[in-house]
Amino acid sequence: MSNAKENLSTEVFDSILDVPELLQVIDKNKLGNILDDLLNQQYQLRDNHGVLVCGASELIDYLPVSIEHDFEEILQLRLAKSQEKKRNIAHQLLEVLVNNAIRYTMTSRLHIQAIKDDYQQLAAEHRALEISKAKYKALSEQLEERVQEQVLEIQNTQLKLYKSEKMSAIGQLAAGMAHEINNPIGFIRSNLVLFRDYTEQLPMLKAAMDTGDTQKVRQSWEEGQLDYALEDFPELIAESLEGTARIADIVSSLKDFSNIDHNADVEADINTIVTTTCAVASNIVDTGISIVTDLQELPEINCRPGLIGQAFLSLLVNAADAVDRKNGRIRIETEFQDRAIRIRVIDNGIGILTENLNRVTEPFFTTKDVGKGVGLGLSICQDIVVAHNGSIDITSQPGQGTSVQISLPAG
Amino acid sequence: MAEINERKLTLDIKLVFYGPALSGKTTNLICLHDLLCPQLKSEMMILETKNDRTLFFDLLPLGLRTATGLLIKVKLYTVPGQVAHDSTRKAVLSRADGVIFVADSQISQRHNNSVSFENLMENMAKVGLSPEKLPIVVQFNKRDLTDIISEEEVVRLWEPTPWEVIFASALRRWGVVETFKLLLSLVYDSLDPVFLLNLRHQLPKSDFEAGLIGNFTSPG
Ligand SMILES: Nc1nc2c(ncn2[C@@H]2O[C@H](COP(=O)(O)OP(=O)(O)OP(=O)(O)O)[C@@H](O)[C@H]2O)c(=O)[nH]1
Ligand SMILES: [Mg+2]
Repeated sequence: MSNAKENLSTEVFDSILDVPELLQVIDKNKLGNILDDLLNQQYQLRDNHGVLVCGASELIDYLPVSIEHDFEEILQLRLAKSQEKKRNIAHQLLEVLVNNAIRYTMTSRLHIQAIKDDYQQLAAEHRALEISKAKYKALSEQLEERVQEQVLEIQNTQLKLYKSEKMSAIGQLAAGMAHEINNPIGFIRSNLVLFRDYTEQLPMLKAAMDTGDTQKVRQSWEEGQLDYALEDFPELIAESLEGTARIADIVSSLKDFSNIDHNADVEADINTIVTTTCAVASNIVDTGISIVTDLQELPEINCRPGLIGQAFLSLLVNAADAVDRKNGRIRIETEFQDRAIRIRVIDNGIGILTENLNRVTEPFFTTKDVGKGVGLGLSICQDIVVAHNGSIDITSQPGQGTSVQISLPAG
Repeated sequence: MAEINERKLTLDIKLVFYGPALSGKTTNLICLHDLLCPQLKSEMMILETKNDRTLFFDLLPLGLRTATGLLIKVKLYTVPGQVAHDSTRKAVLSRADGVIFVADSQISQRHNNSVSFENLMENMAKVGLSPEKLPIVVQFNKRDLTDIISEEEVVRLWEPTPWEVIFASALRRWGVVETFKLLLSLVYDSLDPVFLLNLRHQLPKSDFEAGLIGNFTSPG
């Protein structure tokens, strides 16, 4: 039976039907009971191999009734003469039964065949999907790796650029410093030369004194023009001292500036950073440009002073580049309001065109001349401010000036 | 594939009506059932349908016995045209000896016709039937309607193909027997060299056709 069932599913749906297979779907007992009743047990039902399906075990005188399928006999009903009248009804009954059995068998075979096929198709699709899924997974992993590599590469080049931008700021700074230091060194040096000239007279004066002759001493004094020396000395010394003080000033502000480059979070006063940075910047901006500060009292905030200083310096440098070299004005304001510290750098420079306004914080965006920076200044500034949970607002009127405001959360 | 059962002396031939949904395959079969007078004809089997759409297949068995005693059974099947029943369609198509492709003449059905014909070619390939060898007749059905593709257009489109086209209206009962007769002729030509129908079984083509069609005279 299980074997037959297997056949049912493996065979082509319209392959020739065999009687045993057909009878499988007909309940032989029920059929027997019905026929027994109908034909008073005086009949035999045999299949096309002559095997008895149901009915009397012996029947002597009978009438054969053939039940056909596909133009061939598949069942034979042998009717006892006494049952001859029921021949038609019995034939019809068996025909209906066989037809239904065939219908059923063919349909279920076809159904199973179709389902199997669908399943196989699905399984094949599934396999294909699995394969492509694996491919995509590998690909996506690879992609992720590659993206990571590229991100790293970009970060590296960005870092290099940041550094080069910083270097160019420092370079500008250094050039300015050199100039500023050179100035006092120049006049200190010429003062010292004067000193040397005067002091070269001293041995002659001593020789005159050693003679004890006042006349000679006076003569030597006058030759050495030591009256002038006496007159000049206090001024030369004062001037030289002032010069060294200026150099000391520059060096100390430079030291402050390099000190704040330690990127650790500390409690710091923004005004101090602003002042220090202004001191550094004042050495490098043209003397025709006035820098005015209006600093209000601020609470200390937790920040990285080095970075804030760098951000502020790039704003200052930008402002200095934007204004007129002879009578430009830069105003720096700080205030504490609504739990935020605001640092404003306001200039009366050329301003920023509206179409450029929202691009100025993009990396590499620059309207400056080549060599003046690669355009990372404001972008770095923005990065630094954002890293401090702050924000940058820029308002500008072309030809009127620009105001850049840094807001940092405080308190 | 047809084969002779030497023990029982039978030859089974399977012919399949293929085509898009609602093109009139079942109607073709009913029409043949009503019009043919073959030597042997058994009940038509219309299997489970849903809203008159074929779900499994329809089957019309015809038969003919040669003078030599060979019983030739010709079984006409229709496939379900609906796209969803592709596996069933493929199973019904398998081992076919001839195909009648019933196309729907309505202009709106042009796309469905070509999709179905492509599907026929695909499924033939899957069940190992070659388009060069398998007899195929193309029937453009529903010629009684008005919004239909013109005969000239059909001829122009199918001229380059190896398949003959017949115009029909299964609803009006014309062209259907002609389609069938053309297929029988092609099928005879393809089977005779294999089974020596004429030589061994004394069955010339005319007898083969007459035995399955009967004395039918075209109404046109
Ligand atoms: N006007 C017209 N209608 C037809 C013709 N042949 C079939 N029809 C109609 O088209 C509809 C579908 O016919 P069927 O024979 O069931 O179509 P089918 O190809 O068997 O459809 P599926 O079993 O779904 O694949 C029925 O309403 C038919 O009456 C024809 O020649 N002319
Ligand atoms: Mg149908």
